[in-house]
Amino acid sequence: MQSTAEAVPTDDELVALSRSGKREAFDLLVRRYRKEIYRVARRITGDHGEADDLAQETFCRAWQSLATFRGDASCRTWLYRIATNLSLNVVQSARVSRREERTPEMLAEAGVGASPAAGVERLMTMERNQRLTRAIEGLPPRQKATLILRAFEAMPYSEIARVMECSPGTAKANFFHAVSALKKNMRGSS
Amino acid sequence: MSASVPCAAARRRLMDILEGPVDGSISSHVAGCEACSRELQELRETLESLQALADTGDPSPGPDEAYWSDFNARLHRRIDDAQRSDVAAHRRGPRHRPLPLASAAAMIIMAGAAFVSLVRQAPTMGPLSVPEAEARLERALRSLETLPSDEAVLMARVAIDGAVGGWSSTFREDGEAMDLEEFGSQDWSDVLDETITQPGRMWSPSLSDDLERLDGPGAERLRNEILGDPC
Repeated sequence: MQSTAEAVPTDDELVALSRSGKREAFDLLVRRYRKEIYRVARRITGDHGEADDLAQETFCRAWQSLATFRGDASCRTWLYRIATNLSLNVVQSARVSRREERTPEMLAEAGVGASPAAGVERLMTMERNQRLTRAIEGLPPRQKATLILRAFEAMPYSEIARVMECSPGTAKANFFHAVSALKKNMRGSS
Repeated sequence: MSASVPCAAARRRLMDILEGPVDGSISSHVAGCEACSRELQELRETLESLQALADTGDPSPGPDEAYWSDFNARLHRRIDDAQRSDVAAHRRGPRHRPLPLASAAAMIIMAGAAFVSLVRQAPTMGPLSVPEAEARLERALRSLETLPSDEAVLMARVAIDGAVGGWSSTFREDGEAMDLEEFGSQDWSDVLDETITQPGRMWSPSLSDDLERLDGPGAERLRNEILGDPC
């Protein structure tokens, strides 16, 4: 049976078209990955403004570097690598001073205070998540990025290694150290 | 407790136990060792908390639909602006600009500028193809791995990525896009004055070899500053 569905262009096809100057193809690539790229930048920096700027800069650099993209890694990995490096650069230069905190409005939105039992449960979960988020923010930058890619983006170590430009063993060790540090931190603050 | 596997060896494999099957002797040790079992349980609970946090979804509050509908249009403007800046920079030629004083940022500038310069000034090279240039930059990148600070290496990578990407070598400092190609000889001198405090520790022998091949204005000083006496 023949499918009548229009074929969805692959990343490689879109990269090839983008390379020849077709912005529409690059637009499709951007649409495909912009939310992921924004999300990883947001998680690393903890700041919407920075994440917005970094997501834009990631795609801007990708466009400028299309000619040198060899395809050794997938397009997705390449974009993550640019975004992660840029995000770490921001974190390391300590430009991120605004930490996002839970506001009373957000607590209300989570249902705290609405129904006593559910509210207490949610408050405890929220409090635990907040402590964990703060502990993640305090990790050394590369451990933090590795943890985010592994735990939040569900990346295998082999892909993390390509993003972080290290060996899979190093990626795994970084993740282990990060989780161990979180464990220690959570135990200390509980 | 297993006598054949020390606790320290078992502790290093706890994450492996959580992520998949491991050597039977390790599992046996952990199962029979109270301290290692407790450690494993705490790690498991931390991973579960992480998973629960991940399951809450994207960071909140996230951008709304209006943000995403405008995203690509803003990106187009940014790309166009960057291209116009590149063209303008080439027309203007080198110029003096205020330098960032933070040593790490200055190191990035120097790293990027050094590599751009390496490719541009070495008299024996002539025009380089992109693969040749990339190979040289890769080698320089490996040299940077010898830097004592992981963070400096990472930041230098960004500068080098920029250098590979069309020789525009831009990076951001205090929100301003800067172009390494625009650095003139005075900028170089200032950067070197700011950053080279322990010359011998910053660069590896392979980069030193490259630097020996440099020619052009300021090359001698650059060599002296970078390669100087490590003692």
